[in-house]
Amino acid sequence: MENDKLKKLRYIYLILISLLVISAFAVPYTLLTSINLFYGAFLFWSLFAAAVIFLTIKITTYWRNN
Amino acid sequence: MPTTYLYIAVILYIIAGSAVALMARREMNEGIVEYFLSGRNTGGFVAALSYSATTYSAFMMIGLAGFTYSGGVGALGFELVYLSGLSLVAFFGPRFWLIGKKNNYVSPYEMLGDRYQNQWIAFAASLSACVFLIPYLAVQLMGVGYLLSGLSGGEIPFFFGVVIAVVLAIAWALIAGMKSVTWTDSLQSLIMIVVSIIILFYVIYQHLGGFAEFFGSLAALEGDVLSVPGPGFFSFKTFLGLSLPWFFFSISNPQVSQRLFIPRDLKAMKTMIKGFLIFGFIYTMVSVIWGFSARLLIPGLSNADLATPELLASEYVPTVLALVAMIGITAAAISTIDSIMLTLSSLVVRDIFKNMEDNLDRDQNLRQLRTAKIAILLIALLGFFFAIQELDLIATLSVAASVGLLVVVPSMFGAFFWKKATAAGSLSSIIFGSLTALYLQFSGWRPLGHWAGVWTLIVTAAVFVGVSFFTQAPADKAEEFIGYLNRECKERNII
Repeated sequence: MENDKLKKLRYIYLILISLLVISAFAVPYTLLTSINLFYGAFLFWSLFAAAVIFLTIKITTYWRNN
Repeated sequence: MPTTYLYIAVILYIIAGSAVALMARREMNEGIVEYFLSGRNTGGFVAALSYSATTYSAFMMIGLAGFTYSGGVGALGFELVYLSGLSLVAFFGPRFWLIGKKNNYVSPYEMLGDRYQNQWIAFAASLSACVFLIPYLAVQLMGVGYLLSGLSGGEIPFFFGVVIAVVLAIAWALIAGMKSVTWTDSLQSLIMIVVSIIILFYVIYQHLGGFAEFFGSLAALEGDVLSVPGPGFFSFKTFLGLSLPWFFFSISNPQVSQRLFIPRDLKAMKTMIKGFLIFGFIYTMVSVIWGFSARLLIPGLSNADLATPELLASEYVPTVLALVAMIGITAAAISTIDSIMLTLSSLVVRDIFKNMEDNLDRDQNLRQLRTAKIAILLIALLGFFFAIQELDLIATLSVAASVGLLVVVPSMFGAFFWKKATAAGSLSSIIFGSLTALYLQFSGWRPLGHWAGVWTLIVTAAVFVGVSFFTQAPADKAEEFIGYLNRECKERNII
């Protein structure tokens, strides 16, 4: 793959993962503080982790053995 | 619980683990790379299980369950932020692996020393790892001691549990180095995950009316345990202070980052990453839900760390399940202990008593192997000595481990992604960072209310960048190192 394309993909994934990680700190402590149910922070953090896991595995699917 | 049952369970566990370790020995070849890295030839499945067993210690089913018991759902967020930090492996993993193979690195700090062309960096980082990880290891040993003694109602002495744990860890690390460690890790991680899922489902469906009713009961509890800050422990600053150091665990802890050198090829590394992410997600969920179950079934404990032992010893868990759970937790502890011992011994051999020739002849190999084995015994003895003292100092240093190990993080980023990073920047950041971590942890001072981890990361990064700007980078080495990786990454579509 060309360097430029790799660089672009790297930035895209870095930004997506960073946004998710920031949301894991911000959202439960702002929007979800009053929702004392499974559908609150518990579900949010579970979905957050699932999304990061998905992106991480997606990054590895580009790899090629020589 | 009858003590005889506990002894039988422990003996069965010892026999199974030792059989696996001896099988690994039959497959073992000669040499230092074989001993410490299993010949850089580990398959994806074993690498994934071993990574998981090493990363996840007795902390999960005891400490994290305890956090959940007392602090509510914030514990889940903390541990899942840590898991999300493993996404760093998608960037660092293949780079570690490529450059490790090319330059024959055995330890991650040996790599830092070579990249910055300054062996003192490897020395300082290794020394700091010993200072923080030996107490961490001691706490794991103490965990096994307390667990056996607690479950037997004090009939099995604390000392006996510690001895069992240290002897097993030494044996499984010495028998065939990384090969016996990864193979026994695989067995142990399977025990950890299967056992914890079984006891969890048993308790939820037998005593708490299934998951829907379980969450309903949690919502009805006093203290809003399903939101943050909830019962109060997980204030935002506490959450940040705990989560931030752990986010970088995969590149800060040498026993984990060294495992990025061991996969056979990129395909094995892919399987490893997939495997430990899924393992980590499940194990986190199980540990947190287990802590919540304890909160519902045995409320009112003054010490939350006792939630798991107390629940296992209660009438809610049948003896057989409690026994296997005890083995699962012991396995989690021992698989972490032997990996730390092996990695620290590689740091001692390669970085503290430096002896890095690229092509070791047979005699040197033998000498290094002998030193490594002596180092394992010494590290184990130190850990053992600390564990039986039961000092507060040990607990403090162990808590400080995730903070203290953060000091290599900026140097790791610089090594792979910043050609202008310098040896002076790296070395001074490791030294000032370690001093900051130790001072803040021991004095208990939290400037502006933020924890030691936050400040250690800020100080380390600032010193690293600041000093690098004013000093000379090893330009040729940086070009060779990063240039090689850029070419290979392009060739192999590594992002």
